[in-house]
Amino acid sequence: MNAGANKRVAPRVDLLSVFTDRWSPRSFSDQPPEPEKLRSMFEAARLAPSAHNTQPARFLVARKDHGSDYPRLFSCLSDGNKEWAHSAPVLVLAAAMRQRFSQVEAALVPYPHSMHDLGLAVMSAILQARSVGLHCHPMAGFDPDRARILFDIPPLFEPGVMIAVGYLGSPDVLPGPLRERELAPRTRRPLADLVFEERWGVASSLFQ
Amino acid sequence: MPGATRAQDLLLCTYRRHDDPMSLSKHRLVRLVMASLNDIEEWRLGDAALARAKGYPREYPAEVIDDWGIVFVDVVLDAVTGRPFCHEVNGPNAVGSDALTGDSRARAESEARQALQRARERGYLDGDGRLLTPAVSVHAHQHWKAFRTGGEFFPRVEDFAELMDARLGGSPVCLRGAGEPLGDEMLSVVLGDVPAVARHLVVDPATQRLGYRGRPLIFAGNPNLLPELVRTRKVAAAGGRATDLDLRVFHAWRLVHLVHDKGRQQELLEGTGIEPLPYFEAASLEEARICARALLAGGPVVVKPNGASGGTGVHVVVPGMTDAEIGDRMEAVIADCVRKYGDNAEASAFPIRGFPFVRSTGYPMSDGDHLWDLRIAVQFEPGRAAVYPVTLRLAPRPFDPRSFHRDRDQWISNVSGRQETLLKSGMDDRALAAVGLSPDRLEQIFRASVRWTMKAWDASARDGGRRSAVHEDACESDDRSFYPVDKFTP
Repeated sequence: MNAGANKRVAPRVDLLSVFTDRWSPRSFSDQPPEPEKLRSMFEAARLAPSAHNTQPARFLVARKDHGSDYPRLFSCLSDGNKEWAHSAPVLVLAAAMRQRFSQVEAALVPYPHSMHDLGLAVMSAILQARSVGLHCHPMAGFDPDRARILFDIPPLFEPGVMIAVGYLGSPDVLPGPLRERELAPRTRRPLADLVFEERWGVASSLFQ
Repeated sequence: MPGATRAQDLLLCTYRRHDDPMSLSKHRLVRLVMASLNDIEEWRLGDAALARAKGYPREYPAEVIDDWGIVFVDVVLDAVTGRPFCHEVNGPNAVGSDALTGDSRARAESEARQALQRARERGYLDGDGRLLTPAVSVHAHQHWKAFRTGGEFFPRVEDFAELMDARLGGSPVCLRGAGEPLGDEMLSVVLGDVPAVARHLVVDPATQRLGYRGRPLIFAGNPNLLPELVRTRKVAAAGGRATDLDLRVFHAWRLVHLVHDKGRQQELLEGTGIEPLPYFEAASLEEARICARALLAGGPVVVKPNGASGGTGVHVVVPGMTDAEIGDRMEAVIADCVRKYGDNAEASAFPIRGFPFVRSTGYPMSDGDHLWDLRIAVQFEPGRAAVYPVTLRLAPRPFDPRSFHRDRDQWISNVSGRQETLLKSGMDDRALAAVGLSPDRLEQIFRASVRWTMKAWDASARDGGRRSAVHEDACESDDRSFYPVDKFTP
């Protein structure tokens, strides 16, 4: 069974297919993503906006078919994610610069938007991946301290998320509960829950 | 004297694997030979024990720096206000790194670590750290006529070669003069003057990476190769900057453009603790004349060409000069560059930049007060910077405000091209005190130098250091609450 059929969303408005056809799969095929497709992901991330053009996002890439980094980065995942992420041919760790360097102060200053700006870059990468046929699954479940030690990540950077990347695999290889989730429809809150007008909690008339 | 360059290179290209432990003075003979050729003997000022006692080099955190390099910040104290100014910052094209301990091993170590990183990230190393493909590092010194720092340069290159030899898992390493073909070694450490080295550099249009005699480059030690590549039309330039070139092999690579952009250097001093100077940039001689005339309202003006080194093309204009006299000085800026770099020097000499002349406090000598500057070295690596004073450089003749514009020896302390040099160690407390540099003031200047380096690195990391690369300056200056840190900080 193709998980994509259940995950595809029929939007109420016209949307680009990278939005409607994107979800976070747990099963990936063995086919390694082509390097040029991976490059395009990071190029998209590079162009993401950030406060003051700080560009806080950094990425650490581990490919199963290249070098010896993959097992080390895989070892940083939580057990729940290890259960399925082993099929992903590429793992990415995304980190954000926690402080920004102020040209005015000539010093590092607080940068509370760093994770937000990392998110913008990560989503850019994910959507670009989708546009070239790849799927991504961002994961919060990993050990940032272990990643710090294993990859000499400087204190200025905060690991924010790990991402499994690859071509879609068959859900049939997943264990029962995971397979069930893989085939479940993609669900989201209604827009009236999210967009307000006049005051907080009052659904916008855009969606009446 | 290209023949002399060749002879020097061959004389010193005797590197082979050393199985015997080297003494601390292994480069002394080289330095003595160079000294007889009127070399600048900064190494003689070095005193490792004194440096240790004074806590040099001093280390500072530099979190935003993510690669290796060195810059030299040339500062003065203003005679009127006593405030520190910087008349320019140089990159790894500059020298003096041996004036602290008598050698440049720490700098060679920095270069080697960067070269190894580039080799690794470009896939040239196998799992055991051996080179998979023959590669090249290039180490260029100044054009021969102005090159008087062989006692620093040649030993540093040999130290670099030794370090690479020890760390490349047995891959054969060989020193090569720029005039000779490469052999069957895996790493060729090529040295020669800027034109000789640049002659064999080629840009791969597909990757925008530099190669040398058909082999990939993993390190380039001198950013002055860049204007030479522009002058010889191997690299295109726009706005005084080389374009379409991957710069990562250059030492202090993010700052390569800033090394030659003396105006942007001043802007980046804002907020560091060293006063920035206003300046103009002119794309033509006529524009330079007009801009200089306007700036003269505030006093004498120093004009400098883009992409030059060693004081080449630096002139001063003073109030009271006629337009014709100012125009003559502007033409002299370009003529000096053509004389040193050849007919196509104009390709890299613009924009011409002008700055207010800062008269330093005086260094008292028997014939009067001499102007001076203090060179500060900031050697950096990912996350930290090591700082030390290099030399106090004195102008050869005492300063006379009535005649200095006709006599470079009164106001240029740069040692290149001088028959006589007046250098004091940057650790000479009496000399420092004589010009008003107290320990506290020195520490302030060290910190300011690190801040400049971080500002420059950060701005360059975002977009080559252009003014447009950083977006917060104007809004933060105008409204400090622009970025609502308190609002979002838990």
